[in-house]
Amino acid sequence: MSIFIQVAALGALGLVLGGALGYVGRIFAVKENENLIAIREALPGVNCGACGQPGCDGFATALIEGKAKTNECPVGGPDLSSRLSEILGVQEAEADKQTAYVHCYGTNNASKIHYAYNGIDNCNAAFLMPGSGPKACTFSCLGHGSCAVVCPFDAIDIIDAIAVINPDKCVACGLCIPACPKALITMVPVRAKIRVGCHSTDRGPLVRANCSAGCIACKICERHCPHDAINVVDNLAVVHYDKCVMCGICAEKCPTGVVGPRVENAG
Amino acid sequence: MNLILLFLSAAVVNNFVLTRFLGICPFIGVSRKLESAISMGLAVTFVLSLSSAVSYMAYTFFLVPLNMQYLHIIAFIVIIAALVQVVEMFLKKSSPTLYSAMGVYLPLITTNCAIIGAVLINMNEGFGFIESVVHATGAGLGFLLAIVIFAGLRERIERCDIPKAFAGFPIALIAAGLMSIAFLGFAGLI
Repeated sequence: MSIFIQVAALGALGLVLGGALGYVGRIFAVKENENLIAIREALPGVNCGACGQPGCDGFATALIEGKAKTNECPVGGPDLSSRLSEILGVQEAEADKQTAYVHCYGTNNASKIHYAYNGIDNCNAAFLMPGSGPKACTFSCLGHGSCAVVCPFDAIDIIDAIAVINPDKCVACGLCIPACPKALITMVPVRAKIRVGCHSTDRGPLVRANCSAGCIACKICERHCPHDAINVVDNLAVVHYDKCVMCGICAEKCPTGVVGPRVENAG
Repeated sequence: MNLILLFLSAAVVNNFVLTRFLGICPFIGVSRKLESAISMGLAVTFVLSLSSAVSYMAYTFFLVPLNMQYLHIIAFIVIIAALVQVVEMFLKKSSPTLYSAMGVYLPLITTNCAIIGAVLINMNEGFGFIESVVHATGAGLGFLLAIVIFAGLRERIERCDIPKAFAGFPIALIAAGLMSIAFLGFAGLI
Protein backbone atom coordinates (compact mmCIF):
# COMPACT_ATOMS: atom_id res chain seq x y z
CA MET A 1 0.00 0.00 0.00
CA SER A 2 2.75 2.35 0.99
CA ILE A 3 4.20 2.19 -2.48
CA PHE A 4 1.14 3.98 -3.84
CA ILE A 5 1.51 6.74 -1.29
CA GLN A 6 5.17 7.07 -2.20
CA VAL A 7 4.48 7.18 -5.92
CA ALA A 8 1.80 9.77 -5.34
CA ALA A 9 4.13 11.76 -3.09
CA LEU A 10 6.89 11.80 -5.71
CA GLY A 11 4.39 12.76 -8.40
CA ALA A 12 3.07 15.51 -6.18
CA LEU A 13 6.62 16.75 -5.59
CA GLY A 14 7.14 17.00 -9.35
CA LEU A 15 3.80 18.72 -9.85
CA VAL A 16 4.38 21.22 -7.06
CA LEU A 17 7.89 22.03 -8.28
CA GLY A 18 6.66 22.35 -11.86
CA GLY A 19 3.82 24.62 -10.83
CA ALA A 20 6.15 26.69 -8.65
CA LEU A 21 8.59 27.04 -11.55
CA GLY A 22 5.82 28.19 -13.84
CA TYR A 23 4.62 30.69 -11.26
CA VAL A 24 8.11 32.01 -10.53
CA GLY A 25 8.75 32.20 -14.25
CA ARG A 26 5.78 34.50 -14.58
CA ILE A 27 6.84 36.70 -11.65
CA PHE A 28 10.38 37.01 -12.90
CA ALA A 29 9.47 37.33 -16.56
CA VAL A 30 11.93 39.64 -18.22
CA LYS A 31 10.69 41.92 -20.92
CA GLU A 32 12.69 41.17 -24.02
CA ASN A 33 14.24 43.87 -26.10
CA GLU A 34 11.64 45.01 -28.65
CA ASN A 35 14.24 45.13 -31.37
CA LEU A 36 15.14 41.54 -30.66
CA ILE A 37 11.56 40.45 -31.25
CA ALA A 38 11.28 42.49 -34.45
CA ILE A 39 14.56 41.14 -35.75
CA ARG A 40 13.63 37.59 -34.87
CA GLU A 41 10.49 37.96 -36.93
CA ALA A 42 12.35 39.49 -39.86
CA LEU A 43 14.97 36.74 -39.99
CA PRO A 44 14.30 33.64 -42.09
CA GLY A 45 14.27 31.42 -39.01
CA VAL A 46 15.88 28.43 -40.68
CA ASN A 47 18.78 28.37 -38.19
CA CYS A 48 21.21 27.27 -40.89
CA GLY A 49 24.18 28.96 -39.22
CA ALA A 50 25.54 30.41 -42.46
CA CYS A 51 26.08 33.77 -40.75
CA GLY A 52 28.52 32.14 -38.34
CA GLN A 53 26.27 32.70 -35.33
CA PRO A 54 24.47 29.99 -33.36
CA GLY A 55 21.16 30.18 -35.21
CA CYS A 56 18.89 33.09 -36.03
CA ASP A 57 18.48 34.09 -32.38
CA GLY A 58 22.24 34.21 -31.97
CA PHE A 59 22.47 36.42 -35.04
CA ALA A 60 19.75 38.72 -33.69
CA THR A 61 21.59 39.10 -30.37
CA ALA A 62 24.88 39.73 -32.15
CA LEU A 63 23.19 42.37 -34.33
CA ILE A 64 21.86 44.23 -31.30
CA GLU A 65 25.24 44.06 -29.58
CA GLY A 66 26.84 45.42 -32.72
CA LYS A 67 28.93 42.30 -33.20
CA ALA A 68 27.39 41.41 -36.55
CA LYS A 69 26.59 43.34 -39.71
CA THR A 70 23.15 43.46 -41.29
CA ASN A 71 24.37 41.85 -44.50
CA GLU A 72 25.77 38.75 -42.84
CA CYS A 73 22.64 36.69 -43.35
CA PRO A 74 23.14 35.14 -46.81
CA VAL A 75 19.67 33.60 -46.78
CA GLY A 76 17.84 36.92 -46.57
CA GLY A 77 20.14 38.75 -48.97
CA PRO A 78 19.93 42.49 -49.62
CA ASP A 79 16.20 42.72 -48.89
CA LEU A 80 16.70 41.47 -45.36
CA SER A 81 19.76 43.64 -44.93
CA SER A 82 17.80 46.82 -45.62
CA ARG A 83 14.92 45.60 -43.45
CA LEU A 84 17.30 44.92 -40.55
CA SER A 85 18.99 48.27 -40.86
CA GLU A 86 15.54 49.88 -40.75
CA ILE A 87 14.78 48.14 -37.49
CA LEU A 88 18.15 48.96 -36.00
CA GLY A 89 18.32 52.44 -37.47
CA VAL A 90 21.83 51.97 -38.78
CA GLN A 91 23.48 52.39 -42.14
CA GLU A 92 22.93 49.38 -44.32
CA ALA A 93 26.02 47.32 -44.95
CA GLU A 94 26.36 46.69 -48.65
CA ALA A 95 25.33 43.20 -49.60
CA ASP A 96 26.49 41.34 -52.66
CA LYS A 97 24.17 38.38 -53.01
CA GLN A 98 26.05 35.19 -53.53
CA THR A 99 25.12 31.84 -54.93
CA ALA A 100 26.73 28.45 -54.78
CA TYR A 101 28.28 27.24 -58.01
CA VAL A 102 29.52 23.81 -59.10
CA HIS A 103 32.78 24.12 -61.00
CA CYS A 104 32.30 21.28 -63.43
CA TYR A 105 30.71 20.95 -66.86
CA GLY A 106 31.84 17.34 -67.28
CA THR A 107 28.52 15.75 -68.12
CA ASN A 108 28.28 12.19 -69.33
CA ASN A 109 28.64 13.46 -72.92
CA ALA A 110 31.64 15.66 -72.24
CA SER A 111 33.62 13.49 -69.89
CA LYS A 112 35.10 10.10 -70.62
CA ILE A 113 33.89 7.36 -68.34
CA HIS A 114 36.29 4.62 -67.29
CA TYR A 115 33.85 2.13 -65.84
CA ALA A 116 30.23 1.72 -64.80
CA TYR A 117 29.65 2.39 -61.11
CA ASN A 118 26.71 0.53 -59.63
CA GLY A 119 27.48 1.02 -55.96
CA ILE A 120 25.82 3.13 -53.29
CA ASP A 121 24.16 6.21 -54.74
CA ASN A 122 26.30 8.65 -52.79
CA CYS A 123 29.24 10.82 -53.84
CA ASN A 124 31.38 9.86 -50.85
CA ALA A 125 31.01 6.18 -51.70
CA ALA A 126 31.74 6.75 -55.39
CA PHE A 127 34.71 8.92 -54.43
CA LEU A 128 36.37 5.89 -52.80
CA MET A 129 36.47 4.03 -56.12
CA PRO A 130 39.71 3.92 -58.16
CA GLY A 131 40.42 7.22 -59.87
CA SER A 132 38.09 9.04 -57.43
CA GLY A 133 35.02 7.80 -59.25
CA PRO A 134 34.01 6.41 -62.63
CA LYS A 135 34.69 9.53 -64.70
CA ALA A 136 38.13 9.82 -66.26
CA CYS A 137 38.80 13.23 -64.73
CA THR A 138 39.60 12.93 -61.05
CA PHE A 139 38.21 16.43 -60.44
CA SER A 140 34.82 15.87 -62.04
CA CYS A 141 31.41 16.06 -60.43
CA LEU A 142 30.30 12.54 -59.50
CA GLY A 143 26.64 13.37 -59.99
CA HIS A 144 25.28 11.30 -57.11
CA GLY A 145 23.84 14.37 -55.47
CA SER A 146 25.34 14.35 -51.98
CA CYS A 147 25.12 18.13 -52.20
CA ALA A 148 21.45 17.97 -53.23
CA VAL A 149 20.68 15.82 -50.19
CA VAL A 150 22.05 18.38 -47.73
CA CYS A 151 20.48 21.39 -49.48
CA PRO A 152 17.56 22.53 -47.30
CA PHE A 153 16.20 24.74 -50.07
CA ASP A 154 15.94 22.13 -52.84
CA ALA A 155 18.16 24.30 -55.02
CA ILE A 156 20.40 21.58 -56.46
CA ASP A 157 19.34 19.30 -59.30
CA ILE A 158 21.33 16.52 -60.91
CA ILE A 159 21.15 17.09 -64.65
CA ASP A 160 23.00 14.74 -66.95
CA ALA A 161 25.22 13.44 -64.10
CA ILE A 162 26.22 16.94 -63.00
CA ALA A 163 25.00 18.89 -60.00
CA VAL A 164 23.40 22.15 -61.13
CA ILE A 165 22.56 24.95 -58.73
CA ASN A 166 19.33 26.82 -59.31
CA PRO A 167 20.36 30.42 -58.57
CA ASP A 168 16.75 31.43 -57.92
CA LYS A 169 16.41 28.98 -55.09
CA CYS A 170 19.98 29.10 -53.75
CA VAL A 171 20.35 31.27 -50.65
CA ALA A 172 24.12 30.80 -50.28
CA CYS A 173 23.92 29.06 -46.92
CA GLY A 174 27.03 27.10 -47.89
CA LEU A 175 25.86 23.74 -46.53
CA CYS A 176 26.64 22.03 -49.86
CA ILE A 177 30.29 23.14 -49.86
CA PRO A 178 31.56 20.60 -47.31
CA ALA A 179 29.21 17.92 -48.71
CA CYS A 180 31.17 17.65 -51.98
CA PRO A 181 34.06 15.19 -51.62
CA LYS A 182 35.80 16.89 -54.55
CA ALA A 183 35.37 20.43 -53.21
CA LEU A 184 33.79 21.58 -56.47
CA ILE A 185 31.34 24.05 -54.97
CA THR A 186 32.27 27.64 -54.15
CA MET A 187 30.36 30.85 -53.59
CA VAL A 188 30.28 33.31 -56.47
CA PRO A 189 28.39 36.59 -56.77
CA VAL A 190 25.01 36.15 -58.45
CA ARG A 191 25.78 39.05 -60.79
CA ALA A 192 28.96 37.30 -61.99
CA LYS A 193 28.21 35.92 -65.43
CA ILE A 194 31.78 34.84 -66.06
CA ARG A 195 32.40 31.56 -64.32
CA VAL A 196 34.89 28.79 -64.80
CA GLY A 197 33.14 25.44 -65.11
CA CYS A 198 36.14 23.32 -64.30
CA HIS A 199 38.13 22.53 -61.22
CA SER A 200 40.89 20.41 -62.72
CA THR A 201 44.49 21.26 -61.95
CA ASP A 202 45.72 18.55 -64.31
CA ARG A 203 47.93 19.66 -67.17
CA GLY A 204 46.24 20.67 -70.42
CA PRO A 205 46.79 17.54 -72.54
CA LEU A 206 45.50 15.27 -69.80
CA VAL A 207 42.40 17.42 -69.34
CA ARG A 208 41.79 17.41 -73.08
CA ALA A 209 42.08 13.61 -73.16
CA ASN A 210 39.63 13.16 -70.29
CA CYS A 211 36.93 15.74 -70.95
CA SER A 212 35.80 18.03 -73.73
CA ALA A 213 34.61 20.71 -71.30
CA GLY A 214 37.68 21.18 -69.17
CA CYS A 215 40.10 24.05 -68.62
CA ILE A 216 43.22 23.16 -70.55
CA ALA A 217 45.26 26.02 -69.09
CA CYS A 218 45.92 27.56 -72.53
CA LYS A 219 45.96 31.06 -70.98
CA ILE A 220 44.06 32.55 -73.92
CA CYS A 221 41.59 34.13 -71.49
CA GLU A 222 44.41 35.58 -69.42
CA ARG A 223 46.03 37.15 -72.47
CA HIS A 224 42.82 38.64 -73.83
CA CYS A 225 41.42 40.04 -70.62
CA PRO A 226 41.74 43.85 -70.71
CA HIS A 227 41.29 44.16 -66.95
CA ASP A 228 43.67 41.48 -65.69
CA ALA A 229 40.68 39.83 -64.06
CA ILE A 230 41.28 36.23 -65.05
CA ASN A 231 44.44 34.28 -64.35
CA VAL A 232 45.55 30.73 -64.85
CA VAL A 233 46.78 29.46 -61.52
CA ASP A 234 47.94 25.89 -61.17
CA ASN A 235 46.58 24.92 -64.63
CA LEU A 236 43.16 26.36 -63.88
CA ALA A 237 41.57 29.68 -64.86
CA VAL A 238 40.46 31.76 -61.88
CA VAL A 239 38.24 34.87 -62.14
CA HIS A 240 38.82 37.80 -59.78
CA TYR A 241 35.35 39.27 -59.30
CA ASP A 242 36.67 42.50 -57.79
CA LYS A 243 38.26 43.35 -61.17
CA CYS A 244 35.94 41.59 -63.63
CA VAL A 245 33.57 43.88 -65.54
CA MET A 246 31.76 41.01 -67.32
CA CYS A 247 32.85 42.15 -70.80
CA GLY A 248 32.71 38.54 -71.97
CA ILE A 249 35.89 38.58 -74.07
CA CYS A 250 37.34 35.59 -72.21
CA ALA A 251 34.16 33.61 -72.81
CA GLU A 252 34.31 34.35 -76.54
CA LYS A 253 37.93 33.29 -76.82
CA CYS A 254 37.85 30.19 -74.63
CA PRO A 255 38.50 27.21 -76.96
CA THR A 256 36.70 24.67 -74.81
CA GLY A 257 33.89 26.96 -73.74
CA VAL A 258 34.57 26.33 -70.10
CA VAL A 259 34.88 30.01 -69.25
CA GLY A 260 31.54 31.47 -69.98
CA PRO A 261 28.36 33.28 -69.24
CA ARG A 262 26.47 30.08 -68.77
CA VAL A 263 24.79 29.62 -65.47
CA GLU A 264 23.27 26.39 -66.70
CA ASN A 265 25.71 23.67 -67.59
CA ALA A 266 26.25 22.84 -71.22
CA GLY A 267 26.77 19.41 -72.68
CA MET B 1 36.25 23.30 16.01
CA ASN B 2 34.54 20.32 14.44
CA LEU B 3 32.91 22.53 11.86
CA ILE B 4 36.24 24.08 10.88
CA LEU B 5 37.72 20.63 10.49
CA LEU B 6 34.73 19.56 8.42
CA PHE B 7 35.13 22.63 6.23
CA LEU B 8 38.87 22.07 5.71
CA SER B 9 38.35 18.42 5.04
CA ALA B 10 35.80 19.09 2.30
CA ALA B 11 37.79 21.93 0.76
CA VAL B 12 41.31 20.56 0.76
CA VAL B 13 41.85 17.07 2.13
CA ASN B 14 38.91 15.44 0.40
CA ASN B 15 38.84 17.96 -2.42
CA PHE B 16 35.87 17.13 -4.61
CA VAL B 17 37.67 17.34 -7.89
CA LEU B 18 41.15 16.17 -7.10
CA THR B 19 40.50 13.52 -4.46
CA ARG B 20 36.93 12.37 -4.94
CA PHE B 21 36.95 12.92 -8.72
CA LEU B 22 33.53 14.57 -8.77
CA GLY B 23 32.65 17.41 -11.12
CA ILE B 24 35.44 16.64 -13.57
CA CYS B 25 33.39 17.77 -16.54
CA PRO B 26 33.27 21.51 -15.74
CA PHE B 27 36.76 21.22 -14.26
CA ILE B 28 38.14 20.26 -17.67
CA GLY B 29 35.58 22.07 -19.81
CA VAL B 30 35.51 25.53 -18.24
CA SER B 31 39.13 25.91 -17.17
CA ARG B 32 40.54 27.37 -20.34
CA LYS B 33 40.28 30.95 -19.11
CA LEU B 34 40.86 32.16 -15.58
CA GLU B 35 37.87 34.51 -15.65
CA SER B 36 35.28 31.93 -16.65
CA ALA B 37 36.85 29.45 -14.22
CA ILE B 38 36.26 31.90 -11.37
CA SER B 39 32.61 32.46 -12.35
CA MET B 40 32.07 28.72 -12.67
CA GLY B 41 33.65 28.09 -9.27
CA LEU B 42 31.53 30.75 -7.62
CA ALA B 43 28.36 29.47 -9.26
CA VAL B 44 29.11 25.92 -8.11
CA THR B 45 29.82 27.08 -4.56
CA PHE B 46 26.56 29.00 -4.45
CA VAL B 47 24.43 26.19 -5.82
CA LEU B 48 26.17 23.62 -3.61
CA SER B 49 25.42 25.40 -0.36
CA LEU B 50 21.86 26.22 -1.38
CA SER B 51 21.02 22.75 -2.64
CA SER B 52 22.52 21.00 0.38
CA ALA B 53 20.33 23.10 2.66
CA VAL B 54 17.20 22.45 0.64
CA SER B 55 17.86 18.76 0.17
CA TYR B 56 18.54 18.32 3.88
CA MET B 57 15.11 19.72 4.60
CA ALA B 58 13.50 17.68 1.84
CA TYR B 59 15.12 14.54 3.21
CA THR B 60 14.21 15.08 6.85
CA PHE B 61 10.75 16.52 6.43
CA PHE B 62 9.55 14.83 3.25
CA LEU B 63 11.37 11.58 2.48
CA VAL B 64 11.87 10.19 5.99
CA PRO B 65 8.28 10.66 7.25
CA LEU B 66 6.92 8.95 4.14
CA ASN B 67 9.47 6.17 4.54
CA MET B 68 10.76 6.64 0.99
CA GLN B 69 14.46 7.21 1.57
CA TYR B 70 15.23 4.79 -1.26
CA LEU B 71 13.86 7.34 -3.71
CA HIS B 72 16.27 10.02 -2.51
CA ILE B 73 18.30 10.25 -5.73
CA ILE B 74 15.27 10.97 -7.90
CA ALA B 75 13.89 13.46 -5.41
CA PHE B 76 17.23 15.25 -5.06
CA ILE B 77 17.75 15.54 -8.80
CA VAL B 78 14.31 17.02 -9.31
CA ILE B 79 14.70 19.44 -6.41
CA ILE B 80 18.17 20.60 -7.45
CA ALA B 81 17.11 21.11 -11.06
CA ALA B 82 14.09 23.16 -10.04
CA LEU B 83 16.16 25.15 -7.55
CA VAL B 84 18.75 26.08 -10.13
CA GLN B 85 16.02 27.14 -12.53
CA VAL B 86 14.52 29.42 -9.93
CA VAL B 87 17.92 30.91 -9.10
CA GLU B 88 18.53 31.48 -12.80
CA MET B 89 15.22 33.27 -13.32
CA PHE B 90 15.78 35.34 -10.18
CA LEU B 91 19.22 36.39 -11.36
CA LYS B 92 17.95 37.20 -14.83
CA LYS B 93 15.42 39.56 -13.33
CA SER B 94 17.37 41.07 -10.46
CA SER B 95 20.93 41.21 -11.73
CA PRO B 96 21.40 40.90 -15.50
CA THR B 97 25.12 41.57 -15.13
CA LEU B 98 25.67 38.62 -12.82
CA TYR B 99 23.34 36.57 -15.04
CA SER B 100 25.38 37.23 -18.16
CA ALA B 101 28.63 36.71 -16.24
CA MET B 102 27.53 33.25 -15.14
CA GLY B 103 25.93 32.68 -18.51
CA VAL B 104 25.48 29.10 -19.51
CA TYR B 105 27.33 27.76 -16.46
CA LEU B 106 24.42 28.15 -14.11
CA PRO B 107 22.05 25.75 -15.89
CA LEU B 108 25.01 23.46 -16.58
CA ILE B 109 25.51 23.03 -12.85
CA THR B 110 22.13 21.32 -12.62
CA THR B 111 23.68 18.15 -13.93
CA ASN B 112 27.03 18.55 -12.23
CA CYS B 113 27.79 15.40 -10.27
CA ALA B 114 29.60 17.38 -7.56
CA ILE B 115 26.24 18.77 -6.42
CA ILE B 116 24.39 15.49 -6.11
CA GLY B 117 27.62 13.94 -4.75
CA ALA B 118 27.81 16.46 -1.91
CA VAL B 119 24.14 15.98 -1.10
CA LEU B 120 24.51 12.20 -1.02
CA ILE B 121 27.64 12.37 1.14
CA ASN B 122 25.79 14.65 3.58
CA MET B 123 23.06 12.08 3.80
CA ASN B 124 25.28 9.03 4.15
CA GLU B 125 27.40 10.66 6.85
CA GLY B 126 24.26 11.67 8.74
CA PHE B 127 25.21 15.35 8.88
CA GLY B 128 22.84 17.80 10.54
CA PHE B 129 21.62 20.95 8.85
CA ILE B 130 24.55 23.22 9.76
CA GLU B 131 27.09 20.48 9.15
CA SER B 132 25.56 19.82 5.72
CA VAL B 133 25.77 23.44 4.68
CA VAL B 134 29.34 23.86 6.01
CA HIS B 135 30.44 20.68 4.29
CA ALA B 136 28.86 21.71 0.98
CA THR B 137 30.27 25.24 1.14
CA GLY B 138 33.71 23.81 1.85
CA ALA B 139 33.31 21.45 -1.08
CA GLY B 140 32.32 24.36 -3.32
CA LEU B 141 35.25 26.50 -2.26
CA GLY B 142 37.52 23.48 -2.77
CA PHE B 143 36.16 23.22 -6.29
CA LEU B 144 36.77 26.94 -6.79
CA LEU B 145 40.35 26.58 -5.53
CA ALA B 146 41.05 23.60 -7.78
CA ILE B 147 39.53 25.08 -10.93
CA VAL B 148 41.24 28.46 -10.46
CA ILE B 149 44.66 26.89 -9.96
CA PHE B 150 44.04 24.61 -12.91
CA ALA B 151 42.92 27.46 -15.17
CA GLY B 152 46.07 29.40 -14.27
CA LEU B 153 48.16 26.36 -15.14
CA ARG B 154 46.38 25.88 -18.43
CA GLU B 155 46.79 29.51 -19.41
CA ARG B 156 50.52 29.13 -18.94
CA ILE B 157 50.67 25.74 -20.63
CA GLU B 158 48.95 27.25 -23.67
CA ARG B 159 51.99 29.42 -24.32
CA CYS B 160 54.49 26.57 -24.04
CA ASP B 161 55.95 24.59 -26.87
CA ILE B 162 54.18 21.29 -26.36
CA PRO B 163 54.76 18.24 -28.56
CA LYS B 164 51.91 17.95 -31.03
CA ALA B 165 50.65 14.65 -29.63
CA PHE B 166 50.17 16.23 -26.20
CA ALA B 167 48.80 19.63 -27.19
CA GLY B 168 45.35 20.56 -25.93
CA PHE B 169 43.44 18.14 -23.75
CA PRO B 170 46.13 15.48 -23.21
CA ILE B 171 48.50 17.91 -21.52
CA ALA B 172 45.60 19.35 -19.52
CA LEU B 173 44.72 15.88 -18.26
CA ILE B 174 48.34 15.24 -17.33
CA ALA B 175 48.45 18.54 -15.45
CA ALA B 176 45.22 17.63 -13.65
CA GLY B 177 46.73 14.30 -12.66
CA LEU B 178 49.84 15.97 -11.26
CA MET B 179 47.66 18.44 -9.36
CA SER B 180 45.71 15.56 -7.90
CA ILE B 181 48.96 13.96 -6.70
CA ALA B 182 50.00 17.28 -5.18
CA PHE B 183 46.72 17.50 -3.27
CA LEU B 184 47.46 14.07 -1.78
CA GLY B 185 50.03 15.96 0.28
CA PHE B 186 47.17 17.37 2.34
CA ALA B 187 46.13 13.86 3.40
CA GLY B 188 47.98 14.04 6.73
CA LEU B 189 46.56 17.46 7.63
CA ILE B 190 43.65 16.22 9.66
